[in-house]
Amino acid sequence: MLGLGLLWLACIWIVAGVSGSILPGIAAARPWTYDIVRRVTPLARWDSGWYINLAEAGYWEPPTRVGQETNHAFFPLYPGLMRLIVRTTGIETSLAGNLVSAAALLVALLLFAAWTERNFGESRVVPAVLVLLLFPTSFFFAAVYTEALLLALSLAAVEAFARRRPVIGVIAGVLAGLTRISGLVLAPYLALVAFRARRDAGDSPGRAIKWATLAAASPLAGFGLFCLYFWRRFSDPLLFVTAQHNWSGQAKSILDGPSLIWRGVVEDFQRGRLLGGSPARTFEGLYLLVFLVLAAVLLRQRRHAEALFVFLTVAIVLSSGTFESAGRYVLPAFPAFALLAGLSSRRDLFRSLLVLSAAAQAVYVWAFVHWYWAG
Amino acid sequence: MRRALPFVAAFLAAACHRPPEPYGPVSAFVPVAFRSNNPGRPIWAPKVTLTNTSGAPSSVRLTRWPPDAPDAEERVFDLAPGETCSVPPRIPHGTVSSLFFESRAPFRVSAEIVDRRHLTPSLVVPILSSEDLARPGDRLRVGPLVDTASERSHFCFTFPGVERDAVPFRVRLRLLSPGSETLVHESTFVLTGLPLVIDDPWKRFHVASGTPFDVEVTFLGSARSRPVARGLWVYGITATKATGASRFLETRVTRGSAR
Repeated sequence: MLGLGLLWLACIWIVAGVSGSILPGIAAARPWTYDIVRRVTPLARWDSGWYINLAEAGYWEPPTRVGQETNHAFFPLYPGLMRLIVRTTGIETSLAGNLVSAAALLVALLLFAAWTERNFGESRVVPAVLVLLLFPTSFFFAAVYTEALLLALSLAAVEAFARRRPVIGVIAGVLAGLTRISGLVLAPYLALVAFRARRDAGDSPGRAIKWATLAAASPLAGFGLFCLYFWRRFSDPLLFVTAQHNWSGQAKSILDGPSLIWRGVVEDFQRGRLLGGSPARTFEGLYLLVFLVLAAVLLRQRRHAEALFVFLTVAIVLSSGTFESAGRYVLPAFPAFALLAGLSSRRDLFRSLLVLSAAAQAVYVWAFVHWYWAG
Repeated sequence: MRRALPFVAAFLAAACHRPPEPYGPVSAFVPVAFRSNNPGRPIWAPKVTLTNTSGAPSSVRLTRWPPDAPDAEERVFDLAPGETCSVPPRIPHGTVSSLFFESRAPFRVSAEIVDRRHLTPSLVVPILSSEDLARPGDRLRVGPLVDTASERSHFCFTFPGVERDAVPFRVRLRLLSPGSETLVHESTFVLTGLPLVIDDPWKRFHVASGTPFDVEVTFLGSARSRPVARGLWVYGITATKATGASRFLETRVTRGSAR
């Protein structure tokens, strides 16, 4: 698995490095200042800037108005690790982010292989890892984004509770809660995994529920620590929510999310801009749809916990009111990738899909390097 | 996994940063170069000249930060003995830049910012040496900054472009009543990686409008824990509202070792 992961990382970096010299004339406008653009790696774009800023400068003063974008909308663990590496080695901050992502991905691959083998059998492992790595938006696992870290911590927590190692499970769960809001959807999944593992070990329902509660509480505790920090420093424990709200530039709640998305879809259809106007958003809508279907299939296969996890991961995007970043947000929903790997029984189709997906990923990397929105 | 450790260690060692090699021991720092073309306002343009004061041909390296394009970041001027040349601005419109000159032989730089319509008096820019700049631990004090019916001040954090691999810098800022230690505001923050102008310090630091103060900046070092090559400078400017005439305020440096 490590060899496969390293090979994939090498390929992504080669594609990213080469992309800079392919059609540089049609690159999009760069939203960052000259000094940042000059020093960052090609796999640091868009939201990577917020993580770089957090690693170097920490949290700013709180926002004062709707529409004011501040770095309080980002969780502290990933930039904290970047800062640790930068302060100890002096390497470029974006490169530190890439290193954190790469290390997290390699750990995640080992855990994903173990999880897939336990849940789907040994023959599913390699196809599942290939699907995970070659999914069109998987290049985010190598970029300065939290996807790889969240995936590694989610898998570590799930595997630990499934193997009845609660200390490791709690630590991984807390850290996942400090990584991204998506870490919170782990809570019910961890509860169900811990409950099932305890019952399988012969524990009473009451005792199993206690362990399930502990498991569910761990990512929530991580988020709670984040809120506690904001409370101590800025006297506003819900500053993250405020910052998220301010980012949107409009007054809305999570209940408005699905209707806003629906309105956007209808508008795109009516104006005929599905591919010409906003292709990235159209594809992100498709990824979301695919993952919804995969959640339903998991449910049909009576993999209730996994189905719930995938569904809740999709629900986070639906509650945001926009498809933007959906292709990235679904990446930590690892059970869906193991399920997709079931197509490996149809060899030719599976190979064709992998080649197509890898080609799409290369296009995504080119677009990302050239400052086009890729998720 | 253990086999990979030497490669990881070698990669990190290679990635670790070393400060840029100086071009020569003689240096001059122009803390502000500015050009603008806003309708209805002075058409500011920097007028910078460079003279070889040595008795032999020499070359001088200029580092602009930021330049108007990546290819303008550095330029080497080859000068005959006693030759004077004009330095092309090559800096973006409306953005404060700094110019840093280095050479192995002595040279002289003069800089002023002129209104090309000649309606406003030129602002002569003080030329600093590397030794003038604040090193980590040093304190800079500039003032008084005022906001009255007739005058208004602003200040700016600036540094030579050779610091591009060490920035952003961390500073502790204290606003003090003029000539005293009475604290008006205090904060610690990380500067952007480019010269940072604080146009309206009263609004930025939530100080009552019109309150005069001195700016005291303690240079804490690189936010990326990188070695600082030359240092940091803070300048203040007070402009007369009626005429647009500007003057630099005095900046005093207290060395960290002296405190």
